[in-house]
Amino acid sequence: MSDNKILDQAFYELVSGKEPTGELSGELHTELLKKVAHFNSELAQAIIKISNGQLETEFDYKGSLAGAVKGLQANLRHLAWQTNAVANGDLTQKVAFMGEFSASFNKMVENLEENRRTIESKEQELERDLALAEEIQKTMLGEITKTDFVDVRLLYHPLHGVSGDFVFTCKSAEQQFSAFLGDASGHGIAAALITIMTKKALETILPQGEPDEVMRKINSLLADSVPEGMYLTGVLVKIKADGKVLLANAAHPVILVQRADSGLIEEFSGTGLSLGMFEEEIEAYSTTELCLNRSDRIFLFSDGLLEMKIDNDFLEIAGIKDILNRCQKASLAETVQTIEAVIKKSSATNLIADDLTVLAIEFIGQQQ
Amino acid sequence: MKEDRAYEFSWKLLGDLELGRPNLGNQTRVELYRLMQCTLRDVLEKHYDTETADKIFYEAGLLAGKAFYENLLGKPADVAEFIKKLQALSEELKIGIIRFEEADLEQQKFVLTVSEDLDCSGLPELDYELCVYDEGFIAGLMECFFGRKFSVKEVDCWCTGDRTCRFRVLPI
Repeated sequence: MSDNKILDQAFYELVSGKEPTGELSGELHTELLKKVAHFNSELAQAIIKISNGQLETEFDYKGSLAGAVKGLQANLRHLAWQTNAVANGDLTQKVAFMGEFSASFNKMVENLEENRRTIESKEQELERDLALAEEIQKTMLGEITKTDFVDVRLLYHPLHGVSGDFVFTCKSAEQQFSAFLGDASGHGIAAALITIMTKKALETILPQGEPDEVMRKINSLLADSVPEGMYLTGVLVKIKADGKVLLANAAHPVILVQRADSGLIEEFSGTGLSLGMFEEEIEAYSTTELCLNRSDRIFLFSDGLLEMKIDNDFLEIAGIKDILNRCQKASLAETVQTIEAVIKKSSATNLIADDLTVLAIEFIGQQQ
Repeated sequence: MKEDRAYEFSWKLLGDLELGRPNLGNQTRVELYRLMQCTLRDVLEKHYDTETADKIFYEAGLLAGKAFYENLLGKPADVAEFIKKLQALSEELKIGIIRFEEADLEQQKFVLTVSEDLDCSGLPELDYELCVYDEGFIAGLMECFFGRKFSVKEVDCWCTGDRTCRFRVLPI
């Protein structure tokens, strides 16, 4: 046997935990010691790297000692692979034949799976509740009231099934059409409950009294009833058959009035604080009076419309006025369709972040 | 090659063990499986050469892998299910403990290990990797699932001192 073969065999036996069987000369013995020392150094480096998580470390030696280290590395690499699979949502992964670790890992994955099932079940329950709440809200809020002296169109895009936006309309005996557009803080069920509560109150409050008085009553009701931090903004218009209008704005975006003859768009800003925020705000709300001529239009909308993004910019009042100017000669139905198209275009490229409601009213005068 | 073959493999050739072995059942000792492998390898090497014996073993493994997939693995819906079924069945049938270390699904490259391997674990240490049949077997499984050919090479083996056999699987 050549010296090299004797040396390799002796080295392999040593690093496999066996005594060398061949006869080694003094020179070969020294070579063997050097080889073993080098192996020890490489082995130590490999173990340090593996223990530091560098599981790709290559260790090209054979023999049982090297094999034991590679066995450890193989198990760690497999666990890393399995953990990654769990991280990617595969909760059926199991570790086998690794003693206590297998039991702990498998228990952890089982718990994760159980928690996921619980969350999914809760989510389904919540979705069912939201769908029911949406139905209830729709039923409670009812339809838009029709009269012969105004044409009314509604655009309603709740962010979720239930909405913090709502519109309530009614007609009183003395030929008066009233509309309230409100926006409760938040978007979910809590906001929807505020809308339902306010609507129920408006059924009796709205037909009577001046707009500022209605706002004060709603403020008082909400301040007494809703938790701190929840509130409502709203706008209210009352239109008589002769074109006389009374309006009030409680911390809501402006009311826009578009004149048919000149195309001029007038703005009516909010004068009061949000409804329900403070208990006694007697002077906070005021009623504004104006007169409509035939084909004049009133636009009430929630802040969702202002915050809608067109390209990278918010629509804002200027954007809405721009749309209305372009639609001056169009019918009310066509104008609302144009606004709807803008909303659709925006929602195709941007995330709509709020409920979005538009109530468009055109005064058509008393039918002869 | 003879056209009229006597030994062309089909799953049916494994026979009806319930009927044929009502008392002894379908289990036997690993030593007997290895006895057949080792003696067959010996005779093949004597009749041909080491390389040809390995080639025949690889090819037989490939055939076995395909038959195993088609008859026992069902139709896994995705890679995750394929791997899980393979692991479970390998443990159930005591073929070995299969563990995946890497799975590059885009490139379809894999590294897997087989511990307590039916073919080699516990064999004396040699200076070469022995699991050629396993290489073919894994290639057959992969080919059936992915619908393309794979090359499988054993890079660590019990017979070269390692405690687990490691295979690199690459598409051809």
